[in-house]
Amino acid sequence: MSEHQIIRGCIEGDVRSQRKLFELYAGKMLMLCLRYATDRMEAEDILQTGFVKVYRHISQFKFEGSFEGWVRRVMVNTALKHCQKKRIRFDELQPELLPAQGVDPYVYSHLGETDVLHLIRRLPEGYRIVFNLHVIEGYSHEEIASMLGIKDSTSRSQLVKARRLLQQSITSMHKTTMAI
Amino acid sequence: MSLNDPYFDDWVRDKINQLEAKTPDHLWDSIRNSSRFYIIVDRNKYLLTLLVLLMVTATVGYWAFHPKAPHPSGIASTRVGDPVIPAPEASRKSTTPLGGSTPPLGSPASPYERSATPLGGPASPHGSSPNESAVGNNTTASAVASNSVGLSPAVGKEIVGVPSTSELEVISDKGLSVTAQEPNTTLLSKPSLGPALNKSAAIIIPARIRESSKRKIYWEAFAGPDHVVHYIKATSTQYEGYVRQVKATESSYPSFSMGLKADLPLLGENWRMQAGLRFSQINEELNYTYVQGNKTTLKYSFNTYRGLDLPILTSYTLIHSQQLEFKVSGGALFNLASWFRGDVLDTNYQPMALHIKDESKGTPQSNVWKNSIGTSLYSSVTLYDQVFPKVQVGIEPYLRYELSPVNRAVSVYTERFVTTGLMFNIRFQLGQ
Repeated sequence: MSEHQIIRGCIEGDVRSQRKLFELYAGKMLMLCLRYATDRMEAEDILQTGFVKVYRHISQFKFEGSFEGWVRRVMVNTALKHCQKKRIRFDELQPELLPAQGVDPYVYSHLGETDVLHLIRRLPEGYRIVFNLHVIEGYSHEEIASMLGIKDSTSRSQLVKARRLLQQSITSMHKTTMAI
Repeated sequence: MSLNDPYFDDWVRDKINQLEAKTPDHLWDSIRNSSRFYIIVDRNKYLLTLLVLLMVTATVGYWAFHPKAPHPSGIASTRVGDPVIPAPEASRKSTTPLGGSTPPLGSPASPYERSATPLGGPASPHGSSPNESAVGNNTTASAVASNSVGLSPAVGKEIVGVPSTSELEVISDKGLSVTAQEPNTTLLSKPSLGPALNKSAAIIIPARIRESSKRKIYWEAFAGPDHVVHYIKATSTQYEGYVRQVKATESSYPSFSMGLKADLPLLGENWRMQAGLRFSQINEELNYTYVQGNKTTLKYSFNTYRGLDLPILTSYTLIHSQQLEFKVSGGALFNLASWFRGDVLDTNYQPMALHIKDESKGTPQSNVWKNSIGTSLYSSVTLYDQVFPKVQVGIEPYLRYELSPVNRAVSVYTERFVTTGLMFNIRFQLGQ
């Protein structure tokens, strides 16, 4: 069954097509949700709400562009709504607290995907959301500002802090691993 | 200090984008159950809106006007033409002192005799015999009024309307209250029936006379806005892409219906039938891109689908009071003629007229669309309010389902309309 047929089936309310769509994207989308949620339960809640929205509004997909991109946007919006219920805190930029620190290229090759995900999830919520939206999803600071209802400068500052904190965490994790 | 680190960002993105999480088994069931509810609601939102509208109309109608409906304040509903009277006076007029000459409850006497028990009757100081009490004639309105001696002067000179009730409260001299069941009687005011009647307290209309009031003939005019859902389905899978394009170019536009019908009694006092003529116009907008050579232009077409129908409906009256009538109707609309105007896209996405001109006949001929779309099913509820003695106005939410498509089988898709709407009716009574 092609993606096109699956989408057509979902528009007509066919349960088998809905199941196929779930099997096709659930893993990737759950990973997306895990990056925004604080724990797995919350991520599953976001995924469930997101898939219900996909099934309800799939007829609005115009068959222009990537369907996965469309599903991803629905999931991101659902995750943001979920996070905004908790009132995200965006700390102001204090660069002196986090000095710029590059990562040794050697470290990059020794760090696994799950380690990176783990470190991203340990970021403070404001940092994490802006980092995800900008670096992973590719939204601009203007778009992030409008999505989260913050200033462009706040989005930029959150990203810089998130990146530095993540680099620090990567370096310290590598040091710990080497010591062991 | 640079705030960007594109190498780091790319490295993180590459790592993360490859990841997939294992989904638990129960998640699909939860999603399926949640989405099923929302999808059902989304797909039937117009029907559900109509049902909610019907239920609200029915509830308001019942609660506000039906005599048996529970009223928290205990206030009976008022009707057009009923003078407002103070409650104590009204209660006096609707009570009958129990006396020796009062016909026994449940006696074999005619129900009209029982119902005609005079107000302030036999037990009064100038009490009259039961024979002098009002006895309604079965076929005429010559109900005999009773003496009103013993009542206040106000009662004797003007009879006020008493809300239609199935019960007459009977109060004894000792204050004992007894309720007598009188299911088919109504107390009406009739101040101009002569000196004898001027003294009377009430005129009792027998049941058959009241039934006849429901068997009147009306002419009814109606008009109102419609919402039309277009169901377009490809006749073959190879045309599904084309049908999607057609759907994307069409958008619904406010539509309307209007007509005239006769409302006639059918069976008993509750069953009626309606027949007449109904005109409906379905409107839609068509926005599409027209490519001719190297030039691409955005085109717009306003399409109209018009039809003339013969409605044959039956209705059942659920509530019938002097002020209000509430009925449910169902039946069929037989399409006498349909004619359309506008453009559709052909399979090459080029505009095609809904009608082609037949030069030999000089009249428009439909190439794909039918000249008659056959039968439609129709259901509605109607709430009428009496505004003048022979005039009623009403609202009628309805649903119309067309049994056959509007286009012929030669087309690459079939199109069917389902219409919901709200009619505003005005009904004129014929004769007396």
